[in-house]
Amino acid sequence: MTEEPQGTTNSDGLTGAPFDVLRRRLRLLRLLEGADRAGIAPIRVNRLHTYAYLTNVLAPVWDARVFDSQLLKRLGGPFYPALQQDLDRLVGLGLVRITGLGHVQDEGGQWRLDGFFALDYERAGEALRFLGTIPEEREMQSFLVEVAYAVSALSDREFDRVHHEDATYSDRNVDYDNVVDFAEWKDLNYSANAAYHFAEISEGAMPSELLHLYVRHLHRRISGQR
Amino acid sequence: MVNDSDTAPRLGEWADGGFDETVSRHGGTGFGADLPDENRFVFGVTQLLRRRRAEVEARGESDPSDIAVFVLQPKPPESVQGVHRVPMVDNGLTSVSGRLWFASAAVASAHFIELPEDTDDGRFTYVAGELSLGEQPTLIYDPRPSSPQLRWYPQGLNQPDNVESKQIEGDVEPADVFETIHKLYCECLATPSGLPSGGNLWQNARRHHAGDRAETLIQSILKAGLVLSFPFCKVWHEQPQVAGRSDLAIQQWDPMDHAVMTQHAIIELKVLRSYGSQGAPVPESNTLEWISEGVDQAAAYRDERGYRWSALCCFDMRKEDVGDTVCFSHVQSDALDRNVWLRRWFLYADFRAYRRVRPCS
Repeated sequence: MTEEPQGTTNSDGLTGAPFDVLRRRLRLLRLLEGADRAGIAPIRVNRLHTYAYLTNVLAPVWDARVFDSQLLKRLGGPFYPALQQDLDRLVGLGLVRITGLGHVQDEGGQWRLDGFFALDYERAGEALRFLGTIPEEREMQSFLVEVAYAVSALSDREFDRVHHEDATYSDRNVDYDNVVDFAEWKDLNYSANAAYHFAEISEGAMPSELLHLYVRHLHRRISGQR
Repeated sequence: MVNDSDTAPRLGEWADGGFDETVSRHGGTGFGADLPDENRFVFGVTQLLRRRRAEVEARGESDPSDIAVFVLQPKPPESVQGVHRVPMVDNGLTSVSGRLWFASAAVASAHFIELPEDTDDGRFTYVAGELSLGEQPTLIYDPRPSSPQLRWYPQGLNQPDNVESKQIEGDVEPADVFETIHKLYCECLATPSGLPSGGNLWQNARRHHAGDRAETLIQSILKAGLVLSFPFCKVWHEQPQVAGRSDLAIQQWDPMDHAVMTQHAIIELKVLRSYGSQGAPVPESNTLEWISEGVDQAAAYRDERGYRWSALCCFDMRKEDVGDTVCFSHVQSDALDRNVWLRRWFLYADFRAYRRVRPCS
């Protein structure tokens, strides 16, 4: 079981653990919507976690809120227990469909649930339409979709290896089973810094272009082009 | 290599560089997040085709002379068999010919199925009828004529007469740009009701109070429209320059190297007002100065980056239409000396005035 996080105060003024859970689940629906719009849904569970990770680490580039600035560094790649718990719950509620259910052993030797996830638009559509009426949510969704567009350029094999080359996750100063912490004040978000570096050498590039350049650079590194 | 000792630590494991090569190879991807999906799609497919054509030429190869159909839909219907996914489809390494492509607005990746061997009409029927994709915005690339064609069906193949021809490569001449702006003016700007999705140029049209966001709205409409007219180009807004920020800049990059650019045009935009949004009168002297400044900016931005030409485009929201000659009389000579084109469109605050003149007939 995953322990529910303590409630926090947010910019929308809604506080407490129930609102955190709601916020997380709405965000998860948004992530799955992004995957759908980019043509990568149904999305395999490990890739969904990697996609969620990239939306966290690259959020500053879009001037968006970082949803989770900490996670445990695992050999098998990014994994958010709370996101997984929410995913299971949304499947139970019928808002998310799962196919190809099974178990796989990850690179760390851990057995985990495997499967491909996609929104059930008939059931989730109303919630998403409501979110679309809120300007802040629309802006956040533009960002999540743009990251999905960017990662859609990766092959499945590359997607599964993002954590080996991501500028922040691959930091050798952080050992496995330690916390990757890219909170703003720590200035350790190498991924966002790399995107900003693209802005310096590609004058006038829009934030969306920086996201894509970041992922294209990931692609080049994964395929051994440095 | 990124060797700067101050830079290296903050890039972590990526301090070993390679950024320039990534920009050279992949620059421009992700462009157009602020555009309508349809416009971004046309841009994305055009860039994909440019890249493919350049790759084929560089290798001395040739693609089969067959059409390619691109549908703005991220994936095929679930019932369709024989689907292939092509990640990074915009790298130009995959032949597009004889295939039906499905892509998102960004065209970063795509799925395809082979088109059946059939006549053009048969393939039309296959896509629009058999696969029920006739409502989806669609591009058809036809490399068979001596000059390859790209046809855009914004309402899908169910409306085959609603088609626009798009250029894959070409020049960006002033007359063509002004024609595009005039079309956008007639569609969206000439009267208060033209703007899509609730946008409004007027704070109070009856009283001729222009809205505060008029420039921004006009800029975004022009940007989207120019991308659709010249999808082989990147249209920048607010491009930072030493002399300031240009309103719109049109560039075309070499499909094989993003660092190699053709700088086509700088378009400086000015909104001319009789009144501000709260009704404060704008003195005529301010307007004259505003126009002079526009000429100055258009010339300076063009010269700084070596653009081929520049223009000052004024959107006149004043109470009276004084005509081009009067409006530009104080800058005509200066603009001529400095090779800056001058154009003006008058925005009508009410329909009766518009109907009297009918500038779009």
